[in-house]
Amino acid sequence: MSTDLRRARKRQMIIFLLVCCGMVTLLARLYYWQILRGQQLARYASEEHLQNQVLNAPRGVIYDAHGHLLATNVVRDDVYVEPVQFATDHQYSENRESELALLIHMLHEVLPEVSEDKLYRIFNTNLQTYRIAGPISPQQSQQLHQLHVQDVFLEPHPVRIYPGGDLAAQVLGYVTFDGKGLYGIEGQYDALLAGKPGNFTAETDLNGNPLTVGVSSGQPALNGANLTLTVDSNVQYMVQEALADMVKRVQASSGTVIVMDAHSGAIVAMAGVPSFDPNRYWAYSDQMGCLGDESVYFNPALYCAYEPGSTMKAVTMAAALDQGLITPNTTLNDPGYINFHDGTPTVTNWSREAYGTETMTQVLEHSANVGAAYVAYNILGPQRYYPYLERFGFAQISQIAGPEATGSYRSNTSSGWTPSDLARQAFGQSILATPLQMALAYQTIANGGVMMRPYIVAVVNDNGRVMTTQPQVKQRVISAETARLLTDMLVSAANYNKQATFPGYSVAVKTGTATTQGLPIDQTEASMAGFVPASNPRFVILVKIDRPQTTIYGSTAAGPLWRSIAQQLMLYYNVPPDLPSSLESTN
Amino acid sequence: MRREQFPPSMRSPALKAVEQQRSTHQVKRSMEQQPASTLLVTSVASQKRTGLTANWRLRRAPQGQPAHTPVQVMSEEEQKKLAELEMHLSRVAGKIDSWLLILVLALLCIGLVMLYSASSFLSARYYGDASYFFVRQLLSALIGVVVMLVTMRIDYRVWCRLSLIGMAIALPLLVLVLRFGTSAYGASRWLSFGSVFSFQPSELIKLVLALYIADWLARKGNQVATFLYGLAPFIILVGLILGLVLLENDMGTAIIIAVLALAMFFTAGANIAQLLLALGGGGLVFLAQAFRGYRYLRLIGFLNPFKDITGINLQLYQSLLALGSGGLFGLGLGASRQKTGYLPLPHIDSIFAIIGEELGFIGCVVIIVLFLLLAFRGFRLARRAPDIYGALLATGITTWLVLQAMINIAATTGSIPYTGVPLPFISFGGSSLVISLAAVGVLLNISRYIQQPEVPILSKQNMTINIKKRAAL
Repeated sequence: MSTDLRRARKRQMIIFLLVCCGMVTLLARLYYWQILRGQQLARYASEEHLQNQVLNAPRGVIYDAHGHLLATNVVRDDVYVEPVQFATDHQYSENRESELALLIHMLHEVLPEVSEDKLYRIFNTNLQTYRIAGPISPQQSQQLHQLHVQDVFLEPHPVRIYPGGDLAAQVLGYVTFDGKGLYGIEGQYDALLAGKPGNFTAETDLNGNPLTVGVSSGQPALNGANLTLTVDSNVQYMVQEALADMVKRVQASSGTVIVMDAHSGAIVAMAGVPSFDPNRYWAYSDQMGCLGDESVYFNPALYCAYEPGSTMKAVTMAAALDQGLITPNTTLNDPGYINFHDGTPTVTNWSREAYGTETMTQVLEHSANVGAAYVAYNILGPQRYYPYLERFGFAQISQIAGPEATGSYRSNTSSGWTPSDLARQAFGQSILATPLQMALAYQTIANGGVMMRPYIVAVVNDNGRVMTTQPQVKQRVISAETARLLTDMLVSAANYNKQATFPGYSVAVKTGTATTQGLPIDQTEASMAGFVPASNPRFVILVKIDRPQTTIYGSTAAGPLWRSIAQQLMLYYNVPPDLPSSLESTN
Repeated sequence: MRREQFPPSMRSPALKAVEQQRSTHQVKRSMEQQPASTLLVTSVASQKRTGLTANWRLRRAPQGQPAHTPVQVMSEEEQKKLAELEMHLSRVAGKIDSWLLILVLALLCIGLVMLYSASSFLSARYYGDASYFFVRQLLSALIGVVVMLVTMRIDYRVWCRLSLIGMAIALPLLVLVLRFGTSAYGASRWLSFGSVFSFQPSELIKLVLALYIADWLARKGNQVATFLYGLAPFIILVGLILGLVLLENDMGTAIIIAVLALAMFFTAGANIAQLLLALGGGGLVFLAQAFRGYRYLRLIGFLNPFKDITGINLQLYQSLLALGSGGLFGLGLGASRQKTGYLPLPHIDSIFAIIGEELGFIGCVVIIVLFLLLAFRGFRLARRAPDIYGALLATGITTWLVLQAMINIAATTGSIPYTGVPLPFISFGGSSLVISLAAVGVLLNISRYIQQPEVPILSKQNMTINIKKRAAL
C-alpha cells in the first residue's frame, strides 16, 4: 500500500463531496424554477403555445337560374418571407450574402413580378413577415414548394373568381382582397354571403399546427349562404353581347338592357356597357360608365337615372284611361304646338309636325308631345296625374341588387313645382327615372295592371335553410281593362313604325328619345320599352342607348336591338307565336 | 529478492509466477492483520510536508489506542517495483459492481424512453418517421453495451500500455476535425465518413485522456507534487488538448477535459499551492479571452434569463418554460409542448428540460439521484481500487460522467452560462453514448479487483476513534 494510493483515496473523497454539493445546488435550482416559479413560467409557456386561429368561412357561391356558377372561390397562395428569421438562421454563416443572393434569385425566378431589388430591400428590414406576392398561380405554388427554401412560406388564401369573366359583372359586383363584397349582389348580400368566421384556440407547435395534447376550444365557421339568381346566363350573355355590339355600332357612350319576366317581376338579364371583369376589378378603377358620370362598377340599370322621354307617354295615357277620362279613340287637335295660359312654355312635337285631329292611339303612334302634354295638363291636371306617378313607383327604390339611384320628379306638393313640370313630365322630361323603374311601369301594363316586386335572387341556401323567393305583388296600379286598352295602343304604336316588330309575334312597345336641357339636341338617350308577346306577355324588355352618334332616335338606335333581343327570347324559350298568320304571310 | 527473477517479459511460467506472487501477497496481507491504524500511522510518519503545508499539524493516532509499531516489510523502492510488477500480472477477477451496472442501465433505459419522447416530433417533422432519432440512438446503445461488455472484461491495467497509442490516434483525429469537420450549432465537431456514419473525436479524447493521464500520473509518483516534473508538463499536455478542443468552439468539452484532468491531478497528489496558482492563472487567461468583444454578453446572459429571450437567452428561456410548466409532477410522458419546435435541440442539449416538463420535479430528482448514486459508486470504486492507476482512472471517469451531467443540468437551469454538452446516457449522440458506455465498462472492470478498505469510513472502529477525538477536544 503506497502513500500515493492512500493520498489519492483521501483526495477523491473531497471531489465526491464537491460533487454532492453541486448536485444539491442543482436540486435547489430545480426546486426554485419548477416549484417556486413554476406557475408563472407555466403561464408564460401557455401564452406562447396557445394560438387563436380564425377559421375563414367559405364565401357563398352564386349560381344562375340553371345552377351554373357565376361566382365561386378557389384557394390561392400568398408568398411571405421572414427577414428576421433569415438573419437569425444565418448569423453564424460566413457566406450569408451569397446565400441571400441565391434565395432572392430563386424567388425571382418563380415570381418574375417581384424585382430582386425589392426582395433585397425587404430582407434587410426588421420585419417578422412580409407578403411579397399573392395570390399566385398553382404552378408557382408548386415551384416554390419544390425549392424547399427556408424563411419563405406560403399561406393559402381564398380568392373569389368569376368563371364567366364579365358575365353579369355589374349585377354581381366584386370581392376585394380582404374578402369584402362591393357593389351588386356581392355588396348587397355581403353579410349573408360572407358567413360567420369561426375560431379555434389550441395549443400549437411553433409553426401553429394544433397539438394532439392539451386543450383546444373553438367555434366552427358558419359557411356563407349560396345564392341562386333569376338571371339566365345564356340570355344574359346574348343580351350583353348584343348590347355591346350595338353600342359600338351606333358609336354610343354607354347602354343598358333589362329583360324581366312580365308576370313575376324576376330579372332574366340585366346588362350594361361599358362593364368590367370582376376577376381583375382593380384594373377598372379609373373607368367610367353611365355617360361617364359614374364608376363602371355601378349597375347602370339601377344606378343610372335618366329622363325617360317618350316612353313615359304610356304612363300618362294609363293615368287618363284608368280614370275614364279618355278612351283610345278620344280625339284632340294637334297643330304641332300647344300654348298654355299660365305662362308655361310652349310644347312642340319633336318633328315639329302638325298631326291635326288624332286619336289617343295615334298620339302614341306619332309619339306626339303635344298630345301627351294636352292629356296631362288639360285632361288630368296635377291632382289626378301625380298619384299615378306615385303608384307606378317612380322615385322609389327596389333594393334588388346593390346601389341604386332613386330618381326624382317635382310634384305639385314639392317646392319649386310649376305647371310646366306637369306638361313636360307627360312626355318624359323634367323627371329622372332609373331604367328599372321604366321597365317596371311596362311590366305593370303587361301584367294586367298589377305591379310585381322585382327580384333577382331566386333562392337563398343558408347552410341548408332554403328560402325561395316567391313572386310578390306590389300593388294594383291600373285596372285590367286599362292595361288591355293600353296594350292595344302600344301594339298599334309598334306596328306604326315597325322598328320593333317581327313575324309571328305581336309586340307592344314605346320608343323614347330624350334630350337633356342644356345639351345640343342631337345628344340623346335613345330608348325603347315594351313587352312581347303582346297578347300574353312573357318578357318586358327595356333597351337604352346613351348618346348614339350615327342615329339619334329611340326607334332607330334602340329599336333594332330591342327586336333582336325579343326575337331570340321567343326562340330560346320556345314561346308559341301569337300571330302565326304573319309568319305565313311572310312566307 | 526472488520476485525480481520474473521480469514482465517472462510469460511462459506465468501460472507459477502468479502462485508465487499470490503467496508473497498473502504474507504481506497476513502481516497486516490489524491493518487500520497501523498503516495510517505508518503513512503519516512517512509523509514529509513541504512548502506551505510544512507547518501544518500532522494527524496523530489518538491516545489510548494500542500502540502500533510501524511494520516496514519492504523499502519504498521495493514497494514501487512490486507495484510495477503487479501491473503486468494477470489476476483473478472478482465480481463486477452490479449496483453501478444497474444504475447505468437504468439511466440508459430512462434515456431511451425520454429520447423517443423528446425527439419524436422533430423526427416526424424533418424525417417523416417519428422514431428516426430513437432507432439511431437504440443502435448506438446496443453498440455501446457491447463495447461495455468488452471493456468490462479487459483488465484495466492493459490500458496503461495502450493509452499512448490511444493518444496517437485521438489527437490527429482532433486535428483532422478542425480541417474536415462538419459543423452544426456553431461548432465543428463531427468527422463524417459518408452520410451514414459520423463521429465526434472530442468525445473519444475524454476517455483516451482519462486513460493516459491516469497512466502518466501513476508513473510520476511523488514527482507529481513538483513543479518541474509534475505541474509544468501536465499543463503543457492538457493545454495542448484544450487548445485543440477550443479551436472547435466546443466550450463544454473543454471544461469537462479541464476539470477531469484537474481532478485526477489533484487526486494523484498535486501540490495544493501550485495547483491553486495554476488554476488562478488559467482562470485569468480564460476571463481575459471571454470578456473580449461581445462574447461576454453570451457568457453573462444567463444572469437574467428573461432578457433577450429571442436571442442570447432563447435556449435558456425556453428551457425554463419547459421546467416551469412541468411543476411537481410534470405534464405526463409525451405531453411536452416545448419539444414541438419552441425549445431548440430538445433531444440533445435540452433533453433535461423536456424531462422536467414531462416528468416534473419528481422526474428531475430521480435523474439527479441516479447520477449522484453513480458518483457514489464510482468514487467508492476509486477509493477501493487496488492500485494508484485504478484509483486515478476511476476518479477521472466518474468525475467526467457526473460533471458532464452536472454541467448539462446547470446550463438547463440557468445556473451557469449556456454550454452545449450532452447529458450522459440520455442525450442523443452516438459517439457520446458509445464512449460513455465504454468508460463505464472500464469502471466495471476496476470494480472486479477492488479491495476491502482498510478503514471503512463508517466502520465501528473509525467512528469510535472520531468520537473519542471529539471528546478529547
